[in-house]
Amino acid sequence: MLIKNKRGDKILSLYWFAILIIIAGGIFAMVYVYYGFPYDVRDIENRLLINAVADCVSYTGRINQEIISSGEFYQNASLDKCNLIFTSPEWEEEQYYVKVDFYRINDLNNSLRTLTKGNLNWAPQCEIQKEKESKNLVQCSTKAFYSLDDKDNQYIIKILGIVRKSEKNVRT
Amino acid sequence: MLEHKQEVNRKFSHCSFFQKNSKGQTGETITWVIATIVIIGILLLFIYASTLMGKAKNIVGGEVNAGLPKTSLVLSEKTALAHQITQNKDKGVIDSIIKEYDK
Repeated sequence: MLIKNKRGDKILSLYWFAILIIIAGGIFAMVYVYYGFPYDVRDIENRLLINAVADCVSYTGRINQEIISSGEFYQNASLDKCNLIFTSPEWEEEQYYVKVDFYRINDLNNSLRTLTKGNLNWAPQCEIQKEKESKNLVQCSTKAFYSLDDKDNQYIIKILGIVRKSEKNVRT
Repeated sequence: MLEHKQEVNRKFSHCSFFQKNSKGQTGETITWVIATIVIIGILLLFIYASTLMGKAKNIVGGEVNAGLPKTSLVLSEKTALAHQITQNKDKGVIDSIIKEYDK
Protein backbone atom coordinates (compact mmCIF):
# COMPACT_ATOMS: atom_id res chain seq x y z
CA MET A 1 0.00 0.00 0.00
CA LEU A 2 2.81 2.36 0.94
CA ILE A 3 4.78 1.57 -2.24
CA LYS A 4 1.71 2.28 -4.35
CA ASN A 5 1.26 5.74 -2.76
CA LYS A 6 4.85 6.72 -3.48
CA ARG A 7 4.40 5.75 -7.11
CA GLY A 8 1.23 7.83 -7.30
CA ASP A 9 3.04 10.84 -5.86
CA LYS A 10 5.79 10.48 -8.45
CA ILE A 11 3.25 10.33 -11.26
CA LEU A 12 1.45 13.38 -9.88
CA SER A 13 4.75 15.31 -9.62
CA LEU A 14 5.56 14.44 -13.21
CA TYR A 15 2.07 15.53 -14.23
CA TRP A 16 2.52 18.88 -12.50
CA PHE A 17 5.88 19.37 -14.20
CA ALA A 18 4.30 18.56 -17.53
CA ILE A 19 1.48 21.07 -16.92
CA LEU A 20 4.00 23.69 -15.79
CA ILE A 21 6.05 23.19 -18.98
CA ILE A 22 2.92 23.31 -21.15
CA ILE A 23 1.73 26.58 -19.57
CA ALA A 24 5.22 28.16 -19.70
CA GLY A 25 5.54 27.08 -23.33
CA GLY A 26 2.11 28.51 -24.10
CA ILE A 27 2.95 31.88 -22.55
CA PHE A 28 6.27 31.94 -24.42
CA ALA A 29 4.46 31.15 -27.68
CA MET A 30 1.93 33.96 -27.08
CA VAL A 31 4.63 36.55 -26.42
CA TYR A 32 6.76 35.32 -29.31
CA VAL A 33 3.86 35.40 -31.76
CA TYR A 34 2.59 38.81 -30.63
CA TYR A 35 5.95 40.59 -30.66
CA GLY A 36 7.06 38.66 -33.75
CA PHE A 37 4.76 40.76 -35.88
CA PRO A 38 6.29 44.18 -36.64
CA TYR A 39 4.44 47.44 -36.06
CA ASP A 40 3.20 48.92 -39.32
CA VAL A 41 4.06 52.62 -39.14
CA ARG A 42 3.82 53.31 -42.87
CA ASP A 43 0.52 55.13 -42.48
CA ILE A 44 2.24 57.73 -40.28
CA GLU A 45 5.17 57.99 -42.67
CA ASN A 46 2.77 58.52 -45.54
CA ARG A 47 0.87 61.16 -43.57
CA LEU A 48 4.10 63.05 -42.89
CA LEU A 49 5.13 62.75 -46.53
CA ILE A 50 1.80 64.14 -47.79
CA ASN A 51 1.95 66.99 -45.24
CA ALA A 52 5.46 67.91 -46.36
CA VAL A 53 4.50 67.87 -50.03
CA ALA A 54 1.32 69.88 -49.41
CA ASP A 55 3.32 72.50 -47.52
CA CYS A 56 5.77 72.68 -50.41
CA VAL A 57 3.11 72.94 -53.11
CA SER A 58 0.82 75.43 -51.44
CA TYR A 59 0.86 77.80 -48.50
CA THR A 60 -1.46 80.56 -47.27
CA GLY A 61 -4.08 79.24 -49.67
CA ARG A 62 -2.02 79.84 -52.79
CA ILE A 63 0.05 77.54 -54.98
CA ASN A 64 3.81 77.95 -54.81
CA GLN A 65 4.86 80.54 -57.40
CA GLU A 66 7.80 78.38 -58.42
CA ILE A 67 5.23 75.94 -59.81
CA ILE A 68 2.64 78.24 -61.36
CA SER A 69 2.52 81.89 -62.29
CA SER A 70 -0.28 83.83 -63.99
CA GLY A 71 -2.18 80.60 -64.59
CA GLU A 72 0.72 78.97 -66.42
CA PHE A 73 2.67 76.04 -65.02
CA TYR A 74 6.43 76.30 -65.31
CA GLN A 75 7.95 73.66 -67.55
CA ASN A 76 10.75 73.00 -65.09
CA ALA A 77 8.47 72.90 -62.06
CA SER A 78 9.26 69.90 -59.88
CA LEU A 79 9.23 68.59 -56.35
CA ASP A 80 13.02 68.69 -56.15
CA LYS A 81 12.88 71.97 -54.25
CA CYS A 82 10.74 70.41 -51.52
CA ASN A 83 13.80 69.07 -49.69
CA LEU A 84 12.53 65.51 -49.82
CA ILE A 85 15.31 62.97 -49.42
CA PHE A 86 14.07 59.53 -50.41
CA THR A 87 17.39 57.70 -50.47
CA SER A 88 18.56 55.84 -47.41
CA PRO A 89 21.60 53.64 -46.71
CA GLU A 90 19.20 51.05 -45.28
CA TRP A 91 17.57 50.44 -48.66
CA GLU A 92 19.01 49.87 -52.08
CA GLU A 93 16.01 51.39 -53.81
CA GLU A 94 13.99 54.45 -52.90
CA GLN A 95 11.04 53.32 -50.80
CA TYR A 96 8.79 56.31 -51.47
CA TYR A 97 6.81 57.73 -54.33
CA VAL A 98 4.75 60.88 -54.43
CA LYS A 99 2.58 62.26 -57.19
CA VAL A 100 0.86 65.65 -57.24
CA ASP A 101 -1.93 66.35 -59.73
CA PHE A 102 -3.40 69.78 -60.40
CA TYR A 103 -7.00 69.97 -61.63
CA ARG A 104 -9.27 72.85 -62.54
CA ILE A 105 -12.42 72.63 -60.43
CA ASN A 106 -14.57 72.45 -63.58
CA ASP A 107 -12.53 69.60 -65.10
CA LEU A 108 -11.56 66.94 -62.61
CA ASN A 109 -10.79 64.28 -65.20
CA ASN A 110 -7.83 65.92 -66.90
CA SER A 111 -4.83 66.82 -64.85
CA LEU A 112 -3.28 70.14 -65.90
CA ARG A 113 0.10 69.20 -64.54
CA THR A 114 1.59 66.25 -62.72
CA LEU A 115 4.65 66.44 -60.52
CA THR A 116 6.29 63.27 -59.27
CA LYS A 117 9.22 62.24 -57.16
CA GLY A 118 10.52 58.90 -55.95
CA ASN A 119 10.46 55.37 -57.21
CA LEU A 120 7.86 54.99 -59.96
CA ASN A 121 7.91 51.17 -59.58
CA TRP A 122 5.62 51.35 -56.56
CA ALA A 123 2.80 53.22 -58.32
CA PRO A 124 1.18 50.22 -60.07
CA GLN A 125 1.20 48.25 -56.83
CA CYS A 126 -1.51 50.48 -55.39
CA GLU A 127 -3.95 49.19 -58.01
CA ILE A 128 -2.86 45.56 -57.49
CA GLN A 129 -3.29 45.99 -53.78
CA LYS A 130 -6.87 47.20 -54.21
CA GLU A 131 -7.82 43.96 -55.95
CA LYS A 132 -5.98 41.48 -53.80
CA GLU A 133 -6.32 43.34 -50.51
CA SER A 134 -2.72 42.55 -49.79
CA LYS A 135 -0.92 44.80 -47.37
CA ASN A 136 2.45 43.33 -48.18
CA LEU A 137 3.06 45.45 -51.22
CA VAL A 138 2.89 49.16 -50.45
CA GLN A 139 0.96 51.63 -48.33
CA CYS A 140 -0.95 54.08 -50.52
CA SER A 141 -2.82 57.17 -49.49
CA THR A 142 -4.53 59.85 -51.55
CA LYS A 143 -5.45 63.27 -50.19
CA ALA A 144 -6.78 66.38 -51.90
CA PHE A 145 -7.13 70.04 -51.11
CA TYR A 146 -8.20 73.29 -52.72
CA SER A 147 -5.89 76.14 -53.63
CA LEU A 148 -5.55 79.22 -55.81
CA ASP A 149 -2.90 80.68 -58.07
CA ASP A 150 -1.84 84.32 -58.11
CA LYS A 151 -4.68 85.12 -60.53
CA ASP A 152 -7.25 83.54 -58.22
CA ASN A 153 -7.80 80.61 -60.58
CA GLN A 154 -9.14 77.70 -58.58
CA TYR A 155 -7.47 74.28 -58.43
CA ILE A 156 -8.00 70.97 -56.75
CA ILE A 157 -4.64 69.46 -55.86
CA LYS A 158 -4.50 65.71 -55.40
CA ILE A 159 -1.53 64.11 -53.67
CA LEU A 160 -0.79 60.40 -53.88
CA GLY A 161 1.75 59.17 -51.33
CA ILE A 162 3.25 55.69 -51.42
CA VAL A 163 5.51 54.12 -48.82
CA ARG A 164 6.89 50.64 -49.36
CA LYS A 165 9.23 49.39 -46.62
CA SER A 166 7.23 46.18 -46.48
CA GLU A 167 10.07 44.07 -45.07
CA LYS A 168 10.27 46.16 -41.92
CA ASN A 169 6.58 46.81 -41.40
CA VAL A 170 4.78 43.68 -42.51
CA ARG A 171 5.66 40.06 -41.88
CA THR A 172 5.76 38.36 -45.27
CA MET B 1 -10.27 -24.19 1.26
CA LEU B 2 -12.10 -23.29 -1.91
CA GLU B 3 -15.26 -22.68 -0.05
CA HIS B 4 -13.45 -20.41 2.38
CA LYS B 5 -11.98 -18.39 -0.50
CA GLN B 6 -15.34 -18.02 -2.16
CA GLU B 7 -16.80 -16.89 1.14
CA VAL B 8 -14.09 -14.22 1.49
CA ASN B 9 -14.63 -13.01 -2.05
CA ARG B 10 -18.37 -12.82 -1.50
CA LYS B 11 -17.86 -10.82 1.69
CA PHE B 12 -15.45 -8.34 0.09
CA SER B 13 -17.46 -7.97 -3.11
CA HIS B 14 -20.31 -6.64 -1.00
CA CYS B 15 -17.99 -4.32 0.91
CA SER B 16 -19.07 -0.77 -0.06
CA PHE B 17 -15.68 0.76 0.93
CA PHE B 18 -13.72 -0.86 -1.91
CA GLN B 19 -16.44 -0.10 -4.49
CA LYS B 20 -16.56 3.61 -3.62
CA ASN B 21 -12.77 3.96 -3.62
CA SER B 22 -12.50 2.52 -7.15
CA LYS B 23 -15.19 4.83 -8.51
CA GLY B 24 -13.59 7.80 -6.79
CA GLN B 25 -10.23 7.09 -8.38
CA THR B 26 -11.77 6.82 -11.83
CA GLY B 27 -13.70 10.06 -11.34
CA GLU B 28 -10.62 11.88 -10.12
CA THR B 29 -8.57 10.68 -13.08
CA ILE B 30 -11.26 11.85 -15.51
CA THR B 31 -11.30 15.23 -13.75
CA TRP B 32 -7.54 15.60 -14.19
CA VAL B 33 -7.71 14.56 -17.84
CA ILE B 34 -10.52 17.04 -18.56
CA ALA B 35 -8.68 19.77 -16.63
CA THR B 36 -5.56 19.14 -18.73
CA ILE B 37 -7.56 19.29 -21.95
CA VAL B 38 -9.21 22.54 -20.81
CA ILE B 39 -5.82 24.08 -19.94
CA ILE B 40 -4.36 23.14 -23.32
CA GLY B 41 -7.51 24.39 -25.09
CA ILE B 42 -7.36 27.76 -23.34
CA LEU B 43 -3.65 28.08 -24.14
CA LEU B 44 -4.27 27.35 -27.82
CA LEU B 45 -7.12 29.89 -27.84
CA PHE B 46 -4.85 32.54 -26.33
CA ILE B 47 -2.05 31.76 -28.81
CA TYR B 48 -4.52 32.16 -31.66
CA ALA B 49 -5.80 35.44 -30.19
CA SER B 50 -2.26 36.78 -29.82
CA THR B 51 -1.61 35.89 -33.48
CA LEU B 52 -4.63 37.91 -34.54
CA MET B 53 -3.65 40.80 -32.28
CA GLY B 54 -0.09 40.68 -33.60
CA LYS B 55 -1.32 40.92 -37.18
CA ALA B 56 -3.46 43.95 -36.31
CA LYS B 57 -0.58 45.97 -34.86
CA ASN B 58 -0.92 48.79 -37.36
CA ILE B 59 -0.27 52.25 -36.06
CA VAL B 60 -2.76 54.34 -37.94
CA GLY B 61 -2.17 58.07 -38.09
CA GLY B 62 -5.40 59.07 -36.43
CA GLU B 63 -4.78 56.83 -33.42
CA VAL B 64 -1.41 58.25 -32.50
CA ASN B 65 -1.10 61.41 -30.52
CA ALA B 66 2.59 62.07 -31.02
CA GLY B 67 2.25 65.81 -31.56
CA LEU B 68 2.02 65.33 -35.29
CA PRO B 69 -0.53 67.37 -37.23
CA LYS B 70 -3.22 65.25 -38.83
CA THR B 71 -3.06 65.24 -42.62
CA SER B 72 -6.72 66.09 -42.90
CA LEU B 73 -6.21 69.04 -40.55
CA VAL B 74 -3.24 70.43 -42.49
CA LEU B 75 -5.01 70.08 -45.83
CA SER B 76 -8.35 71.40 -44.57
CA GLU B 77 -6.53 74.46 -43.22
CA LYS B 78 -5.10 75.09 -46.68
CA THR B 79 -8.54 74.65 -48.23
CA ALA B 80 -10.13 76.97 -45.68
CA LEU B 81 -7.52 79.66 -46.37
CA ALA B 82 -8.20 79.44 -50.10
CA HIS B 83 -11.94 79.70 -49.45
CA GLN B 84 -11.34 82.75 -47.31
CA ILE B 85 -9.33 84.48 -50.04
CA THR B 86 -11.96 83.95 -52.73
CA GLN B 87 -15.04 84.26 -50.48
CA ASN B 88 -16.13 81.16 -52.36
CA LYS B 89 -19.86 80.51 -52.86
CA ASP B 90 -19.17 76.97 -54.10
CA LYS B 91 -17.49 75.97 -50.86
CA GLY B 92 -19.88 73.05 -50.31
CA VAL B 93 -19.29 71.68 -53.82
CA ILE B 94 -15.51 71.94 -53.51
CA ASP B 95 -15.52 70.32 -50.08
CA SER B 96 -17.55 67.40 -51.40
CA ILE B 97 -15.09 66.97 -54.31
CA ILE B 98 -12.18 66.90 -51.87
CA LYS B 99 -13.96 64.32 -49.71
CA GLU B 100 -14.40 62.07 -52.73
CA TYR B 101 -10.68 62.20 -53.48
CA ASP B 102 -9.60 61.34 -49.94
CA LYS B 103 -8.80 57.65 -49.60
